[in-house]
Amino acid sequence: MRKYLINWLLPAGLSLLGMGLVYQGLAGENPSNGGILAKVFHLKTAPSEAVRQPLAFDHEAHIRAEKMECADCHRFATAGPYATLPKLKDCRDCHSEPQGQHPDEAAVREYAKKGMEIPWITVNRLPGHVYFSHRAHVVDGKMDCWDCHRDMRKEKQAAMNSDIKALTMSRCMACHEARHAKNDCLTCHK
Amino acid sequence: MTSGVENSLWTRKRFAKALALAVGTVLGYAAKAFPAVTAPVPPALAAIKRPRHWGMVIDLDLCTGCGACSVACKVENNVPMTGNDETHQGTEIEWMSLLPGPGDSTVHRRADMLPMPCMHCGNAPCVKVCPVGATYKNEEGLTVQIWDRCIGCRYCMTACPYSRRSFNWAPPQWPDSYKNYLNPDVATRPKGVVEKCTFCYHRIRSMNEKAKVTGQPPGDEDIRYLPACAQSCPPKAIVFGDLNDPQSLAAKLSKSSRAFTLLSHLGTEPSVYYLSRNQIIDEG
Repeated sequence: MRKYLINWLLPAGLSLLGMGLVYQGLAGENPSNGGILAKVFHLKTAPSEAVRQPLAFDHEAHIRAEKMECADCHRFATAGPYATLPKLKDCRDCHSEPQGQHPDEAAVREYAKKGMEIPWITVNRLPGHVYFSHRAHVVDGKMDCWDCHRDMRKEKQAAMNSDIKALTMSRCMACHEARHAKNDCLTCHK
Repeated sequence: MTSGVENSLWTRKRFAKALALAVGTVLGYAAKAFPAVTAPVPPALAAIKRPRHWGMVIDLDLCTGCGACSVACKVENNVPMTGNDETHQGTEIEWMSLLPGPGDSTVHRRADMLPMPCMHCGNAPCVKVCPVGATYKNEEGLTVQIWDRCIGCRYCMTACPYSRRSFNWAPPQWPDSYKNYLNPDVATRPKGVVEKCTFCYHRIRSMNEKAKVTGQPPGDEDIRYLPACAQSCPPKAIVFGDLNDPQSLAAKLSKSSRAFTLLSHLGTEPSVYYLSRNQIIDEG
């Protein structure tokens, strides 16, 4: 029994542990944000440190309480490849009149007064050789936003970090295979 | 003797265990590798009659040699701009070249020019020589080059009998004023990779996506002048289309009596057909 332990279980356990460590170190928990591989090959697709968004936008309040859809502000999520960030006009539709007490709500009107767009900071960026269409996934693939993004229905703030769960090719390809979508290189690479 | 057998690694029991494990692994991989054998064909795939075969027909009797196709291609596909020096060295990058034809220009009144995109050969020599699989034939008949997988060995450039591949000898450069006009749908290629015509696949892709979303399959009229070269050609000498669809204009023209392919004796089976009354170029 002891021999069996030393001969088989110990090496197997050690190699599993090693593989896990290597994977953790190389890929990182969220490869778009960190990991040695990402650092060596400059694979960063998003700011690695939390950004400070100009306004404290409460996603949960808008989605839960006001029954808004993601595409009401990220207008091109259902209409084009890029989901895009909201324009001031989308905010002004409701917030030209005060709706609550939050100081950032007044800031929206300040921006409107100055005739300025809210300078939202993009936190998710695709690598230059990848084509991804939101329209194809949301409208044709009938996917939900939170299949790939963090569930913003529970977030009380604007995204300050990349909120994509894991932006890896294997994840994309596994899902494509499962849903019988095309897996030709040209489907996603440009 | 007995203790020797017990101590040795391969007792009969262990051997049987290892064998079972190996067979199981092989079967598992086989099931993954040949899903068609093990799993029923999904209805979405069964509905497709046959894959498309993209092809192009260039009518040399209509071509005036204006060069619009070449310029449009360069702009559409973010092909880096090079200067006189590179052109003289033969290191400029061109996907759609306008080459002087081999005919005697004193005999033919028309400008004797030969617009040459990648031939997207059915039997592509470049695919066979690529050591890293950076270029392959996809199911729509395209010869695909993956920029990020290319190691820059340039075997494919040597193999291509039409010289339709270019190498990035230097980092791509554009004038500053031009940088905001780069096409976001096409990736720029770094130094050290080979690049070539894609039949404007990004346009095909967005057409397919639009068709899926709206539920209306694109007709031949939508496809005919889809690539940038075909769209920009003033006399509409370049026609693009699905050669597998017998109703498409490109398929009809490719069966015309004027049709021929370049270097047909090499057996490369190009997807680009030329039309000419005097088939001067088909010397093979």
